[in-house]
Amino acid sequence: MIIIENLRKTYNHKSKIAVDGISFSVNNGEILGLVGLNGAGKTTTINASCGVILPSGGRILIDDMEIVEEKAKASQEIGWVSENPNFEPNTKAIHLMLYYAGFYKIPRKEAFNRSMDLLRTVGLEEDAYRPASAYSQGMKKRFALASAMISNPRNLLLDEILNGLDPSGINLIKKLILEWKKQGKAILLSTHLLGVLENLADRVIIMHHGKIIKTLTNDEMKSLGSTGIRIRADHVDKSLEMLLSKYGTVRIDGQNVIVNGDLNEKDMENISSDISSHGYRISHLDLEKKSLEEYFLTLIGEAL
Amino acid sequence: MKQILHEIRRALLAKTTILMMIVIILIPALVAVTSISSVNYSDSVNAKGYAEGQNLTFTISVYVYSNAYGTPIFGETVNLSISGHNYSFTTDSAGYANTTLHSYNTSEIANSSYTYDQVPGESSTSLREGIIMLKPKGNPYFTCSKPIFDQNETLYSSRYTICPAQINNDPKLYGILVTYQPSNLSNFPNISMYYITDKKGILTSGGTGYTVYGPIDYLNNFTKELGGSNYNESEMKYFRTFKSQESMVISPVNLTTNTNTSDYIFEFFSSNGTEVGWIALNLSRTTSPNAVNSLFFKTELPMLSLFVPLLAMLSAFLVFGRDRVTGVLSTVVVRPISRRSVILSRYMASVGAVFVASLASLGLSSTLFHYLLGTYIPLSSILLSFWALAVMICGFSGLIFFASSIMNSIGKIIATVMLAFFFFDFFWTFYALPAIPIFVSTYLLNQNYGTLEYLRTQAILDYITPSGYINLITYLQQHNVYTIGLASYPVSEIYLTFPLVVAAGLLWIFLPLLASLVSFSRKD
Repeated sequence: MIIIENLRKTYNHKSKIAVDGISFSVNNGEILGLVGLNGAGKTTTINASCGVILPSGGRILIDDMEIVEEKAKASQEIGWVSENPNFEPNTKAIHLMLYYAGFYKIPRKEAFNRSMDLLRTVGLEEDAYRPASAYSQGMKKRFALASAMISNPRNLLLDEILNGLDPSGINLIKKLILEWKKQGKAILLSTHLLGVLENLADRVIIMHHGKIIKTLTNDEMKSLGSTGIRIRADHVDKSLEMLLSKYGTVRIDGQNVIVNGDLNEKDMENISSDISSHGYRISHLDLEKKSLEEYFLTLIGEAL
Repeated sequence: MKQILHEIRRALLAKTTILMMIVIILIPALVAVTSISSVNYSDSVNAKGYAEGQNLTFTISVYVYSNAYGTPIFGETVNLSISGHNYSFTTDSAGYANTTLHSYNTSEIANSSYTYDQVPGESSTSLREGIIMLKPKGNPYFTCSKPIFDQNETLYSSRYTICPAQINNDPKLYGILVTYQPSNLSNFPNISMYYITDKKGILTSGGTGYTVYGPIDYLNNFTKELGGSNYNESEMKYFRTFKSQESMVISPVNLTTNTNTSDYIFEFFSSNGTEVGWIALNLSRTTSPNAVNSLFFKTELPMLSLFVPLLAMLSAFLVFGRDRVTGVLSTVVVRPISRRSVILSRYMASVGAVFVASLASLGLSSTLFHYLLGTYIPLSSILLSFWALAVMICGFSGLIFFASSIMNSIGKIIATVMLAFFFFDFFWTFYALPAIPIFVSTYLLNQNYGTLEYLRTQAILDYITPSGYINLITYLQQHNVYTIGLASYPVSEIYLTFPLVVAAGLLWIFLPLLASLVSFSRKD
């Protein structure tokens, strides 16, 4: 479990506040998405949470252990994937895995077997004896994930992990994340694409300028997905507006009428027959799905 | 512990570190070798003067030659005193000063003497020698003979003088300088050289390098007694036959290969088997520990003080600074290890790598000194130098660790490394270019060279940078009284006391490290 209380981070006196007093928690068996534009404070939040950088204020608890004061203990249960993973030059991937395993006092033979299993899981078994620093960006991400899992930690902090991956890589990682969720791990996942978290995250925190501007549950995210029906009739008047208001919120957009609400294909059929029976001729009828990204951008725009 | 070993291995195997280690190990060693080859051994002038003639007409010849290499000395003035009269004459290109005198009888010639300068041109080194009378057209090997002591022994005066000599370009080994007094002989005879291993302890009884030598004084029946030991001449091995000449250096160096001893007895024989001279010689030349020590402090240590800080800073950059900026360090920081342990293990790896290189350099140099000069660098000097180098390594490493912990750009850290190297090392303490101390004392503070204030400023400046520690150690090691120009001052008056120097060393070791620790553990 990850608990963040009033986290603040300023890199130096001249720069803006990177993270400005945010608080949230990630429960065991939960995937929490952290969404925001570049510079929103996602990476800073994740890096501070795993002890890579020091917070300027606030408290971060990993399984009830404070990450600054009890760094060595708290880090036992942390797996971290950086936004841009970088590894020691000229060191083979398998040797790096064994090196990392040494920090957890895993016996060498077990460490080797576990490392090979993990590299196989992320599709890097054949590249185990190549220097990790020479991997492509996507391979580095996979390797970073494998190295994060060397101790099978209870808390995972994954920074833009799906960035730079091909579709098969994205599917693989999503599958693994859902599997780890089932195992009861607390997973904090950052991205600048809200759509990525659909069907993945249990909750989403939207960050902007170092602050949390919205928290969405999975259900709320889904409701944002199908927003209304767009109708183009031969004429638009008050009667039509009255007629459609029973289906949801009605908005007139020139020759178009947009009905927003929790609508589906059946509603669309009902609206079509209702309008026709009242003498209107329909030239266009479409179930309009507003994307999460549009919602996200709208939200960010409102926050500006 | 495994992780720390991994860090040390990683630091040692970085290409840049390997390159710098090679530089650190080889360049000072090369400087040492170069300086060793310039060492001169008792290269003073020697002379042999003799007279030959009859009926109040005598030819006087004085042969002047280098005692080290046996080469003739040209242009040396020889002053001859005979019956209250003085004559000056100069050696020719063959090393001979010749003159013919009339109106002096045999007794006056036999009692005459001459002087020559042991250091050419320096009259204070003038030495007086007697003229040796030769019998006209005598034996080519001996100048005279007469029976002495008993019926079985005869005293001969050999024309050969034999002593140890320097071999060109091989200062560790002795050769044998043979000088020959030809008088008026037109054909120089051959002599043959024989040798035997000195198993009887003639040399070892006198210690390493001990030699006894001289012209033959007597002959016996094949059993020689020298220094109380007997050996059989019939067991001697033949080495070479030489044409006699005024002086020559024989290099029996090949005798030292494939054998555990360098103690030999050499004898020289005429073509008919008559012994004309001998030498008991340890072919290995040893230089005094003080001379080696002085050479080491003057030549090698300044080179180390130039390169060691550079390697220390580069290593600190590679092990900590670069990894921190590129994010490689974060893959370690995220593991169950305290931030303090991360920086400490990296620091130990970094300084450990440079320690290894410095020790290897000191060890190699000491071995080279021993190989070439027969003496190791004294252990006390090695330890003192290593302490000074350790202060420099820790000081400069700590500075770069600190800079790396507060900077977030590789360019800035590299600039800091270069600035620190040129400002605090190259232009501050490197003996060929101490521009900053000179500028500060002479131009900023208007202090005159050699004054107490000038020296105090220099000492303070040496305390300010870790690379100055080499100077502090050198002053302490070599001078109780510091002499500069015509002035001398006790070292304590220029702040060079033992406790102060030790305190400065400890400060340079721990202060930058502590600053880095605090910065990385508390302010990152």
